[in-house]
Amino acid sequence: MTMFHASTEQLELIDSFTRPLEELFAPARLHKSESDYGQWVTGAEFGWFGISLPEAAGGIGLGMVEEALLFEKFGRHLVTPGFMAASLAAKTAYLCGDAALAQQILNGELPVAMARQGAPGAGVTLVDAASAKLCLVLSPQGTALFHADAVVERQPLDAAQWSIPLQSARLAGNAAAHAATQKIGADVNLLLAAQLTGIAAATLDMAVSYSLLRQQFGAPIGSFQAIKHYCTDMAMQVQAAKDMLSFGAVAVAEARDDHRFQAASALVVATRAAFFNTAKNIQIHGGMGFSAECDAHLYLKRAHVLDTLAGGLKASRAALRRETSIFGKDAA
Amino acid sequence: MMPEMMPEMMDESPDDFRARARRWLRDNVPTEHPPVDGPESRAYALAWQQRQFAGGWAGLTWPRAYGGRELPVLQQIAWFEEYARAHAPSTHNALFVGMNHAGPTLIACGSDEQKAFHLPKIMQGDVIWCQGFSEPNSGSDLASLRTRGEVQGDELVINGQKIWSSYADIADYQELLIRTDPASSRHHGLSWVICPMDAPGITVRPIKTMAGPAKFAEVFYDNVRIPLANIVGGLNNGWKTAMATLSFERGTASLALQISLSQRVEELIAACDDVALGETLMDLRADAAALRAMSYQFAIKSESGPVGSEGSMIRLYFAELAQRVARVAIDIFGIAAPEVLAVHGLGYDYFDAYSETIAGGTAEIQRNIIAERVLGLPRGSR
Ligand SMILES: Cc1cc2nc3c(=O)[nH]c(=O)nc-3n(C[C@H](O)[C@H](O)[C@H](O)COP(=O)(O)OP(=O)(O)OC[C@H]3O[C@@H](n4cnc5c(N)ncnc54)[C@H](O)[C@@H]3O)c2cc1C
Repeated sequence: MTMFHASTEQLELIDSFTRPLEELFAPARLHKSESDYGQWVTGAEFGWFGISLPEAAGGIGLGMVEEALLFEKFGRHLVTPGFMAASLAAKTAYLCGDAALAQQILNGELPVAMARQGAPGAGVTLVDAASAKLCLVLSPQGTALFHADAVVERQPLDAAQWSIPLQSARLAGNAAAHAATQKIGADVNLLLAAQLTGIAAATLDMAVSYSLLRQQFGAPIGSFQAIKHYCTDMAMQVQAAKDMLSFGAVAVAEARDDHRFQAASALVVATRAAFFNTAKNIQIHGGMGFSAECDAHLYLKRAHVLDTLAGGLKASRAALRRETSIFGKDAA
Repeated sequence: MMPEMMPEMMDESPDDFRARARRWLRDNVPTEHPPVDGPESRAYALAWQQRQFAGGWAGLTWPRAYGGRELPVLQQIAWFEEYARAHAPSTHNALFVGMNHAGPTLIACGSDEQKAFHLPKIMQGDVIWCQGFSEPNSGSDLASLRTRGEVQGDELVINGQKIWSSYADIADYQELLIRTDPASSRHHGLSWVICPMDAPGITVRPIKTMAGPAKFAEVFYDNVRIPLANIVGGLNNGWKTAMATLSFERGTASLALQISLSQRVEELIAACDDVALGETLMDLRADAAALRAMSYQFAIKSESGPVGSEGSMIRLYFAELAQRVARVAIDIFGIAAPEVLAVHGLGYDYFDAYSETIAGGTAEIQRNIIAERVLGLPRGSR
């Protein structure tokens, strides 16, 4: 039978696979420490870095649908983008025939940080990179895996501002990549979209719970139409992002003709969903939402970090323009 | 009458189904444009339905017992995708009510006699249906409706007025919601009846829409006599039947239009060389792709039972996206372009799209429903 969406079995599998997240990655942890590198080995032990790599290569042997669902959960828990870096780095190494390197990444021996480079020669923005041994650089040219030493002139930025350690840096002029590929652009888009979708979903849940809890004028604020309609708009954003992600992941897993179009659409939809929902969630929480103690701002800030890793919404839209839909001219 | 295709269909692969749909559409889609309203639009819609039925493409998801094909909704979507790509006439025509909510309501709530009599007629393109729910003083607050039906022997005698009834001037039947228990209030004591539009005592006054044509109408009932046998879902039980109708209207009814939106966006992208609109168009493109993904999800879920208020979310997402798409077309071409001014052109589409967030329950009402039934927020003051 032709598949179009993630199956119930796949959803249940990922639910059980990610149960430890509740305890280990409560979003509130980021109020105390912005980096997740303390949990690096844990992530490796759970097999979270190699879910879609074959078992023979040290992975779990599942596919892109499961991986997208896993990263949606990571987005919900604001797990460091380093985990995405690890997964994509292992895949890059594996595709370039460096099985040993892939294995070391999957074991957790070589922590990876992610960086975005806007154009060749331009500076890079590094995320959560203090203890990383490798650096995965995303650019319009594809995905390239470098030794951490290749990223030089690092300037630490204020970690508290974006609730995650950031560095601005440059790739050394003579730096050579361990591995590089242009083949996993759709995977990159899906993992970014998945985390942004997770953020949109988590902030919807947070907004609805608070709307039921918080009382003003003798009634829960969720009984007021303005709040209801915000929540509904958030729910529509989540439904669109989730269904687009699942549809796109299946298209990639099944190598459908339009899979790149679907994955690029998923990123644009999820980015906008995350920005919309994180902002409305702050508004719905009132003064509490504006306070540093509340988790609401953590989601907003992480949405910006992921959007930056994606190259920015403008670039994501431009990338979508290059893809072909089945309703496009050539198909008609 | 059995449509021609039966034997070859039995174990046809999805790809073969699509290919066959594409071939048939290529050979059969009418080249002349649909007339905008009145008897010509009726004749056109019926002829096109008859042709689809003869080709074996009508009632794809309807029960076999009444001449339907009982195929999965996913197959229906595949048909709609090919339908959109072939630029076949919009399903937003005089057949809309019959095919998308009157028929499905009869399937869900009708008696065997009602189904056996009406379903084949709808599917074969013999009849047009319209909907008589709204009244001058009962729109969003449908349960306040006052058109009444008095039980006299084995008949109902109906007096009152409906409004905004699409295609009422060219319809054979109406899904008519009336108050049959005079002592009742709100959603109690209503009945959903099949009203033959040629019954003595009915007066129809067409109303023009802001897009130009006379697409809906006021309907007046002056001692209109309808047999009790025309009640669907039981006397005084009409609210339940009406909710079934609305669940179809807000669920599967727009499937074809949802799917065709991707096609429309691609056409705008191809036509637009204004760089400044690039980002807007890419958002529309991505959102149309998401709408398609949601439609597939809805279809998959509906295989294992009714989907419920979640359908409202897709319907509303579609409505607002359709308006954005229609609007940007005007930005791309400008108000004086031939593409905009043409009969059924982009100007017509643009104006017509304003109805998407009003008809079938306004966007505000849909938001209330989603907040309360999907998200579980408390009912507030109205
Ligand atoms: C093109 C078109 C075709 C139609 N076809 C049919 C048809 O075939 N058959 C039929 O029966 N009807 C039909 N209708 C009528 C349609 O169902 C009603 O117009 C609709 O339900 C709204 O009712 P109303 O027009 O009375 O607006 P009102 O209910 O008066 O609403 C006016 C405004 O108030 C807002 N409002 C009302 N109540 C609330 C609330 N509780 N919370 C927040 N906002 C609220 C509305 O959202 C709207 O913005 C059609 C309408 C259109 C535009």
